[in-house]
Amino acid sequence: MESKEPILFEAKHITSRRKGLFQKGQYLDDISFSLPAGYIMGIVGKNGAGKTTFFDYIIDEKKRYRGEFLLNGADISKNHLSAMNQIGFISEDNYFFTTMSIRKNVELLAPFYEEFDHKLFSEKLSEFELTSGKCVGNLSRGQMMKFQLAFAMAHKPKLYLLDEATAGMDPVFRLDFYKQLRLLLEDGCGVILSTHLEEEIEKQIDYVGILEEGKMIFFGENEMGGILL
Amino acid sequence: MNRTIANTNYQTIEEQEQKIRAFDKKINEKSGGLNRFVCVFLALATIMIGAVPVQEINLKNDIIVIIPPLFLTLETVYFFLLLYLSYADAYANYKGRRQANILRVLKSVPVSKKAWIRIRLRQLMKFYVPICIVGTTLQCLIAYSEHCFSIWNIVYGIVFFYIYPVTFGFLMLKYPKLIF
Repeated sequence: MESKEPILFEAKHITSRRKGLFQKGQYLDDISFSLPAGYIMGIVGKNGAGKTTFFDYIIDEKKRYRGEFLLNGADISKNHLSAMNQIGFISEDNYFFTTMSIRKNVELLAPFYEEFDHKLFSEKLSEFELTSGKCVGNLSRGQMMKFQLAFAMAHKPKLYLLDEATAGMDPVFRLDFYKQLRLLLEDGCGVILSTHLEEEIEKQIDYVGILEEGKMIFFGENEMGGILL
Repeated sequence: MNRTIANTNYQTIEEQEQKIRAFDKKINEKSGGLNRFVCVFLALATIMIGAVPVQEINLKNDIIVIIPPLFLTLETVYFFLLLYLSYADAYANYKGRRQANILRVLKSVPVSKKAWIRIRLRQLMKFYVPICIVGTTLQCLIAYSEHCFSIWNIVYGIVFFYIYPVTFGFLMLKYPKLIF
């Protein structure tokens, strides 16, 4: 699986230290890897290994680390607005207004994106059997992920970040979810996801990065499989 | 679909600010009116209490007199900015938490947090300019009528009715975790 695709995303020597009197040590310790366009990378690690911190650093406007995240060769921290237009973030944490309907959330948040495709969003909602009038806080976990995926797809990002997005999904939808992701990869997108699930690591992921106590102890092609759908 | 950061149109500061203002209008449709009423009410109370000429306040004996207006000012700023920092919808058809931290929701959205803070600070300054003018004028007039007017009345008015609340507002915006 030697990739000839251009590098979509690169992490270069990402290091951060804990601040405060009683917090010593490092959050992330010299993490470096590059992901070519058209592939899925899985970040695997125990709870507290630094997976969510890693995603946090990518999406946060304030640079709290040393090193560089490069998206299409440009430093994310220097082009944050532009980078966030090209990143679709799907998380187990709710980054939406839970007391509002899907429609109202989109009405509020979509204008911030340069290329939000409302038609595509409606199509995806219907495809995922969701109605725009439903309150976001009342969505089930699976529905929430579907909504987030539809929202992310509608603003046409190049890089999808999925923080524990597939945990708790029913197996049927999970397969469907990966089919959707594979379709996106054909357009030259890339996906970085964090997961605990062994089956996913075996079947769905092209590159694996193993995080242990903030250190990436392994990064490489997934010898167990990948692209099996 | 081959977009790169380099050829993406950058949003100008004005465009970002317009988008944030449009967002504010939409999100404050329901609760904005009540919050503004509370702010104006508190501001009027602050003006009334803050109009006591500075020369009449004896710091040794009347320290207690200063605390209520100081607290009231903080309350005004808190309620003013709360509108932009937190969203609460009491009528929502949702049984869980009814409050949302707006900055947290906007974390993964392309919004410049610097522009976001700048706009809020400008709104706060705009709100406090008339309060400062009225409060300081009142302070000076009362001092003048009591034949004790000095430059300190103007300084007190500006510090109490403008610099103090705007500084607190800035800290509240910059470090919301300290306040909430």
